[in-house]
Amino acid sequence: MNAPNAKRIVAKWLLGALFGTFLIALTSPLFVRSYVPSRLDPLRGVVVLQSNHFYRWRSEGYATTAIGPHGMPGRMSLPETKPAGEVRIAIWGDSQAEGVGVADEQKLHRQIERIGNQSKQTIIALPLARSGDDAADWLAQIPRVEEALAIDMHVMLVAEMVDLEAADAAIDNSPEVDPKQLAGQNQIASNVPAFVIQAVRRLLRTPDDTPRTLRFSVGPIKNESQPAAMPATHKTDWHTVMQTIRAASDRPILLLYSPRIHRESLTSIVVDDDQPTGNALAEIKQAAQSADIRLRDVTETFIDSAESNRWPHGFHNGIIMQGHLNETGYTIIASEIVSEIELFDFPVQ
Amino acid sequence: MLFTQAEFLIFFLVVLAAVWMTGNRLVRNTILLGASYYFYAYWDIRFCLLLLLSTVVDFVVSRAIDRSNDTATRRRLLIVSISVNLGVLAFFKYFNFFIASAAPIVEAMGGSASTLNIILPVGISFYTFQTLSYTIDVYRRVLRPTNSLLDFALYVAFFPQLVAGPIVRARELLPQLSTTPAWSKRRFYYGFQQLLRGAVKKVLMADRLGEMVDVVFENPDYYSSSTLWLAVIAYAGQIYLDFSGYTDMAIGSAKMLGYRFPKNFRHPYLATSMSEFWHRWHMTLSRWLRDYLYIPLGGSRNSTVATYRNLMITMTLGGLWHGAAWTFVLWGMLHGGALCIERALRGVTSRRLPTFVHWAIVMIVVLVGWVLFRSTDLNAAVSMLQRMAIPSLGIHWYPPLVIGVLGCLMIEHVVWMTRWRHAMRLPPDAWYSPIATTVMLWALLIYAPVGFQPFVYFQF
Repeated sequence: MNAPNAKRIVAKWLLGALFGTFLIALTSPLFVRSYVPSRLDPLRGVVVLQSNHFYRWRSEGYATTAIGPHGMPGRMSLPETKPAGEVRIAIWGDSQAEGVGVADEQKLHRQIERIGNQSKQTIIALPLARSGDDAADWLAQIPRVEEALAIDMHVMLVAEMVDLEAADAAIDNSPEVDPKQLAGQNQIASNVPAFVIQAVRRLLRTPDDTPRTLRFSVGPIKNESQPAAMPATHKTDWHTVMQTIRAASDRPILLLYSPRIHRESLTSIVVDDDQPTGNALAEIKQAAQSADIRLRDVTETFIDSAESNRWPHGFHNGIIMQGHLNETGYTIIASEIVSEIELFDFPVQ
Repeated sequence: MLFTQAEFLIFFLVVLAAVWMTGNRLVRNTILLGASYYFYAYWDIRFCLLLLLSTVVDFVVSRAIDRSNDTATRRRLLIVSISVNLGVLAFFKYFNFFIASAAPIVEAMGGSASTLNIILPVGISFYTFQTLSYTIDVYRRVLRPTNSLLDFALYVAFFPQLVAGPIVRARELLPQLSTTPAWSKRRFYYGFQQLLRGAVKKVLMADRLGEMVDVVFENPDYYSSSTLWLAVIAYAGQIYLDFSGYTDMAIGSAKMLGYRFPKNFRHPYLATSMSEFWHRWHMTLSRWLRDYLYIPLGGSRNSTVATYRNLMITMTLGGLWHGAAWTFVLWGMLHGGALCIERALRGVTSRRLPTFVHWAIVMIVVLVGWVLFRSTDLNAAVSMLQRMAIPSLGIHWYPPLVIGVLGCLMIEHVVWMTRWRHAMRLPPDAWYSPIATTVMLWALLIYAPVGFQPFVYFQF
C-alpha cells in the first residue's frame, strides 16, 4: 500500500468514526438515560438533582422528567405564598413514588391535584420522594421543610414495609455526600455526553454497580460459602416505629401502603411474598392507629384493577406486572389520597 | 468463556497476537491447542478429560481402521468409536431423561428409578458429531487419517467452534491445520466484521428479545393471544439471532486466525418449503444428519414409505440431539412430519399456490415448532398453542424494543434479497463501512442489556 493511499484510508476511517459517533450522539437520547448534575439542597439537607434540568429514564417508560425547586421531579414551580383554602401535602417515598418512568402530567402529584380539583379541593402536592429513600430519610427532612414549604399533611408511600422499619434507626443529619466528590460528578454529568458516561460505566461497573472484575482462572467456579449462621428473625416493634414517625410532625400523616402484586395462578393475584398481609398487616395498622397515623392499604384496589387487566406496576418497555408504579397505579393511589384528604378537617374552598 | 465476555476479548487478542507472531506451524498449532483447552477448562477443567478421551479414541481407532484391510475388523473398530462417543454423550446428556421417562413403568413393576446429578459438559453434542464424522469418513475411505495427534486434537478442540459449532468436518479443517495460513489483511478485516456483526446479533438483538420471551414462556397462561404470538415470533427471532450470531462470531474469529469454516445459516426464515428451511437453518447439522444418518438409513433410494420412515427417524433423532426432553422429540417429529407431507404433496401444491402461501405455511410450522422447542414441558406447550389458536384474554404486553428488533430483522431479510446484500458485509472500500462499524461498536458498549445471557445453543 503506498503512502497517499494509506493516508486516504486512515482519513476515511477517522471521518467515518466521527460521523458514526455523531449518529450515536444524535439518537442515544431515545434510549440512554441522562446524567443530571445534583446539589445539596440547603432546605432539605439532602442531595437532589439540580433545578431546571431534564432527567430521562429509559429502562421503564419513555418519560422525561423536569426537575423543579428542591429537586422535585415533575413540578417546575412552587408558589411562594399559600392562598387560603389550599391544602399542601408532601409526598415521601422511594423510586416508586418518584415516578421517573411516568410522564410529568401523569405523575402522582399531578394526578392528586387533578383529582382534588374535580372534587373542589385545591391541593398542591410536593413530590419529595427520592429513589432509595426510606423512613429515616423522610423523618430527617420533615422538620426542615414543614414550615418553610407550609405543608399541611404528609403522605408516605410505602411499597415495602421494610422502608418504614428504618424509622427506628438513628437519624443522621449530616450531609450524605462529600462536596468534592459531588463537584467531580457534576463536572462529568455537565460536560460529558450521557452515552459516553453510559459506555464507561458499562465497561467498568457490573449491573449492581460494583467494580467489574475479570476472571481468568479455570472453572468450575466455587460456590460462595454460605454464612455460618442465619441471623435470628428480626421482629419489628411497630408501635415504636409509628411513635417515631408520629414524633416527626404534629400534622396529619398518611401511610399509603401500595405493595407489589403478582399473578400467582390463573385465578389468583396476590401481594408479593415479602410483604405483610393478614394478621401481620393488621398489627401494623393497629400500631399506626394508636399513634394517630392513618394507614390506607390499596392492595385490594390494585388487585381489582389487575383483574380487569390494568396492572398498577410495569411498563411495556420494562415488564408488565413488575417494576415501578405506572400511570394506572398512580391514578389508584391519587384517588385514595384525595379521598383521605377529604376526611381531614382541612379548609375547603 | 462466552464470546460476549470481556475476558474472551482479552483472551482472543492474546491468542491472535501469539499465532500471527509465529511462522512455525507446529508452534502455531500448539498455541491454538493450549488456548482451546484453556477456553474449555474455563467452564470446568474436568470437561477437558472427556474431550481428551474422545480425541485419543478417535485418533487411535481411525488409524487402526485405515491400516486394516479386513472388513470385519474395520467394522468392529468403527463400533468401538461410535460406542465410546455415543456412550459418553448418552450418559451425560440422556441418562436422566431415559431414567425419568422409564420411571413410571419401573415403579409400576415395583422397582425404583432415581436420576443422577450429572452436569452436561458444554458443547459435547457438537464435538461428538465432529469426531464421529472423522472416524466414519476414514471408515468409508473418503478421508485419510492424519498422522499428527496435535492437528487432530486441535481439529476437535479448536475453540471458535468447540462449544456450539458450526460442525466442521475433518476434511474441511484438517488440511487447513496442516499448513500455516498466509496473512491476509482482507480476510482479517472480514473476520473482524463478522465477529462484530455476530456480537450485535447476539447482544443487542437476541438478548433483547430474550427479555420478553423468558417472562412470557414462564407463565404463558397469563397473557393474551396477541402477546403470545408476539412472544413466539420474538423467540423465532431470538433463537435465529442468538445461534447465527454465535456462528458469525465463530466463523469471524476463525477467519481472523486464518481459517475458513463452512456457513451455518442462510436466512432460514425466507424458506418457502420445509426442505429449503433445513438447507438454510443450522446447515452443518443438516448435512451431518443427511450424510451420517439419513443416507445410511437408505435415504430416498427405496420405497416411498421407507423414505418417509427415514425422514421421520432422522428428524426425530435430530430433535433429540438438541435436548433430552420430549418437547425436542416432538419438535423433531413435527419437522419430520412436515417434510413427509411436503414430499407427498410436492406435485400438487407447487403449481397451485403462490409463493407467499408456501412461505406462510412454512413459517406457521416453524413457529409451532419453536413453541415446542422453548416450552418447559409438554403441558405448557399445549396450553400455549391452545391460547394462540383461540383468541384469549390476558395481559397485553407489547415491548417496543422487541417490536423494533423484529422490525430490524425483517428489514435485514428484505435487504438480503436485493442487490444490496453485499453492502451488509461492509466492504473495506465502501464509504459507509467506517460509519456502520463505529455505530456497532458504540451500540455494543451502550445498549447491551444488563447482565449477559449465555447462548441458547450452549445447552445442547
